[in-house]
Parts: sequence; C-alpha cells; structure tokens
Amino acid sequence: MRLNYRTRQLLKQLLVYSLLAIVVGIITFPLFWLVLSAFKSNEEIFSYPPTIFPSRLDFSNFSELQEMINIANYFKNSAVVAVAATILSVVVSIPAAYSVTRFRLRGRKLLGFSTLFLYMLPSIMLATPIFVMFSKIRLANTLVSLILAHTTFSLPFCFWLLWAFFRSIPLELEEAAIISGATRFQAVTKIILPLCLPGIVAAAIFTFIISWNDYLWAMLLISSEELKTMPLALAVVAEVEWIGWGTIFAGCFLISVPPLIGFMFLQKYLIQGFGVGVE
Amino acid sequence: MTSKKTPILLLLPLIVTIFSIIIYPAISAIFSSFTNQELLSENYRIIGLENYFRLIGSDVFISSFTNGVIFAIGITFISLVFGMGIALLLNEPIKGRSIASGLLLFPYLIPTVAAAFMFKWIFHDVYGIMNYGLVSLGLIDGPRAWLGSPDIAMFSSIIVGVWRFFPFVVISILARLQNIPQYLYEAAKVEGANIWQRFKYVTLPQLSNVLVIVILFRFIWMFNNFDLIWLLTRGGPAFATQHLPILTYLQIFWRYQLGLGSATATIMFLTLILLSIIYLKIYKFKG
Repeated sequence: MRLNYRTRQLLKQLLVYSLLAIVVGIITFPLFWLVLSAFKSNEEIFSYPPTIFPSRLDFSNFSELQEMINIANYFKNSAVVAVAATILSVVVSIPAAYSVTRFRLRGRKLLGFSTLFLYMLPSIMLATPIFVMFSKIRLANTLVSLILAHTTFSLPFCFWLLWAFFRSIPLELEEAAIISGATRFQAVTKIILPLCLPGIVAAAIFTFIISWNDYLWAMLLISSEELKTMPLALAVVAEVEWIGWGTIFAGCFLISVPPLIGFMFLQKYLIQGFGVGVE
Repeated sequence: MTSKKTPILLLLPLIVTIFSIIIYPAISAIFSSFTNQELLSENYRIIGLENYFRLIGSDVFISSFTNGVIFAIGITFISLVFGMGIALLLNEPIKGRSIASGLLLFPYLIPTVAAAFMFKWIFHDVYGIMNYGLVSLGLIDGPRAWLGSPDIAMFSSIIVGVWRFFPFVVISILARLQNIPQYLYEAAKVEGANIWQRFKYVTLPQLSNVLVIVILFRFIWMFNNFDLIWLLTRGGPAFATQHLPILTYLQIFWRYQLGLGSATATIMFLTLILLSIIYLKIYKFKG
C-alpha cells in the first residue's frame, strides 16, 4: 500500500511529535519530581507507594530551610559573584575578540589553539596556586577572589564565543562606514556592536549561569559563613544529619530559579549566539 | 587613523588576566609536582619525577584514572547519540518545537548541586522513584542500590552526567543542522536516496566539524569535572566512582600532599593534550 504524500507527512509529524513528547517527558521528569517534592511535607515524601502530586501545597520545607540558613544572604553572594564575573569576562573579551578578528596580527591561529589548550587545564590543578596567590595578597576568603577564580573558566569560554561571533560579521561593514566618514570608534559602536548584541547577550547569560552554578571554587576559597554562595551553602547544610530531604529539595528549587528564569527570558538569543559560536 | 598599538592594547586585558589567573598558577602547579611540598608549608625539596613514578605504580591512581576515562567516554558517547537524535527531532518543523527545545535545555542550567540531590533521591534504594517505577513496570525484579553499590554506581553517575550535559550536544548540533542548505537534500532525493542514505551522505558530513568539536569539548569537560561525582557519591562507594579530579582534591586538601596532588593534576592535563593531539590528527587524516 503506497501512502500518498500528505499521509506520509502526517505520519511523520505524528512520529516526531510522539518521540519528542516521550523524550521531553523523560528528561523533565527529574525536575518535575524535584519541584513537586519540595512542596510535599516530609512525611509525604517518605510515603510508600510514593505519591506524585502533593496532597496539599506544603511550605514547611521552605520555612525550615529559612530557619536553618540565611537564604537571602547566600543568594546575594551568588548574585554578586555571578554578575561581577560575567561583566568582567565580557568586558575583557569584547575588545580582545574584536582585535583578533579585525587586525592582522601574527599568531592569530595560535591564539585560538591556546584558548582550547588553556581549557584543558583542570580547575583542580589551578586551585591551590590560586588560593596561595590570593592568600599572599590578603584576598583569600573574599568574594573578589571568587570572582577572579571564576574567570578561569568563564574567560576562555566567553572569548571563544565572542571571537566566533565577531568573525561572522563582515569587515566590509566597518570599511563602508569609515569610508563614509565615520571614525573607527563610531563604526564599531554604532554598527558592529549592535549587530553583535545577540552573541554578547548569549555569552553573558552562559557565563552568568556557569558562575552561579559553581561549587568547586566556592568550596575551596570561601571559609566564612557570611560569604558562602548558595550552591556551597546548600551542599554544606545537606550534610547535617537531621535535615529532611524536603528541606534539601526546597533549597534545590530555590537555587535553580535564577538560571531558569534568566534562560526563559532570553531563549532566542541563546541558540542564535551559541549556534554561531560552534562553526 | 588607528594607531599601530591599538590591536595589542585591546588584547592586553585578556592576556594579562589569562597570564595571572591561568598560566601562572598552572606553571606553579607543574613546578610543585616536582617537589615534595606539603600544603601550607614553605619548605620543600625538589624530588624530580618521584611523584610521577609513585602515582603510576599506585593502584588507587590507576583505578581513578580508569574511572575518569570510563566516565568521560561513557557520557560523551551516550550524550552524542542521544543528543544527535534529539537534534534531528527538533530540526523538524513542528509546532511546539521551541517549547520542547527550551524544556530540554533545563538540565544544563540548574546547578550541579540541585541535580545531584535530585538524582540521589530518585536513585534512593528504598524511597526512590527509580526503583519503584522499574519494579512496578516489571523491568527489574527488586530494588537496586543505584548509587550505593560499587558495580552500578559508575553507571548511575554516567546517567546523571548525560542528563546534565546532553543539552550542549543538542544545541551545537541543532544550530549546525539548521544551516545545512536544503538543496543538498533535494539533490540527494533526486538521486533516489532514502532517509538513512540522506543522513549518511548529506547530514553527517555537514555535521562533521561540529561533531569533532563537541566530542572533544565534552570529553575534556567530563574528564576534568569535579562537582558531579563529588556531590553525587563523593567518589564512593569504596572508590568505585573516584576519578582523578577527586583524587587530586583528596591528596592536596585532605592529605596535604601538594606535590603529589599537583602531579596527579598535571597527568590529567597531559593526558588531555595527548588525546586531543591524537584525536585531531585522526580527524585531519580522515578529512
């Protein structure tokens, strides 16, 4: 039986739809499970057989978490570090990426390979020397040290993304502007930068998220209670013997909210900017 | 006119930062690896390659190294296959595509801490939904200790790793897929190619550059990644999931063996360089 074109297309769409639905279901299930469990009372979490939806919305986990740790403070620390690390990485990477794509420098290819090379350095390898270095200049156990430590992973990444993005913008645009009488600076700020905005935004968001989610550097560099970032605080408090799973879930839920919101607002920029970056 | 110095000036902040925060510490770590320095101590002796010989002969090191490689390869391979499939699905023009792609990116965005606790609960041997679901569906006969049993722990960790990081593969492949010119497919159809042939002779070659980069990056990141396994199992049970980053951390911060730990980390770095060179040479040779 030879199906006609319309039917084949319809079947194909149906197949894709169902496969996608199954996959999305499987992948989002853990998150779904986490969010639901955060709103269940601790008794209900341990019920067997497990319930899917909470029998009623229970906020006790959140209040218990708030009693145990000062959530707002850790959130603030995470935000400060992430924002600062992002600004630093982006501000340093933009002129560098521009320079490499616009000027004829020797060793341009070398730069590309060296960023890859640098990326192979394990964070754990850089950790101790960095800690010792910061201790010597009295910066250990400060948010500043964490921000600078974050650049070890955010800077090469940010630069690489922006480099690829800048590469995709033709030189002729600036040349045309300069010929029409603009200075190079005007050409850049009025024409090139606006074009690069999606890429810059994508790089910024990625850097923010990676910085927000960092655990290793916070664990190594921060020892005082008030300066902890949220991932570190959550991991530490989860070690407490008598903490309930529900309370942990409440923390996990809260921690995940900023990256997810940040992403939802800028989904379009993400694919656009990142897509160019991998050419 | 722009001065001759401008290009260098623009690059300067980047170069200075990279030198002070990456290159200098890296060299310092490599230097430490040739000493017997302890953490927080000023005295040390240069002992040459002794740390390296000690490591290569140590069982713990070898098992950590193997675990690290298994972890990295496992995640890279599975997320590549899985990610490719999903990217192909998302490439189809159907409604709800952007919602689906948005949802599928979530695992990449949440902190590793959250992912670790989430899966620790799902994999819980008594109350975990994984055991409950699989037993109810009749797929396994009894509950398993997904993270508690040395045999399965690595497998479970790989699952978590795939879940956490596959969106990177999806985005990269999808972005490239959407730029493949349609006429290539039309031409293939005219020549009578079916779906598999079109995939093999049009899609794959067009994707090859992206795939090379994705595989390389994924392997590097997973080989160096500390957070996931540490937060999930702490390298247990009984060192079943302990890999080189964790070994390094324990050597330096729990046993204070700075020299030894630096050697472990340096070996990690050298391994990656070596593998990348071999990998890229193979790729150039084929291409």
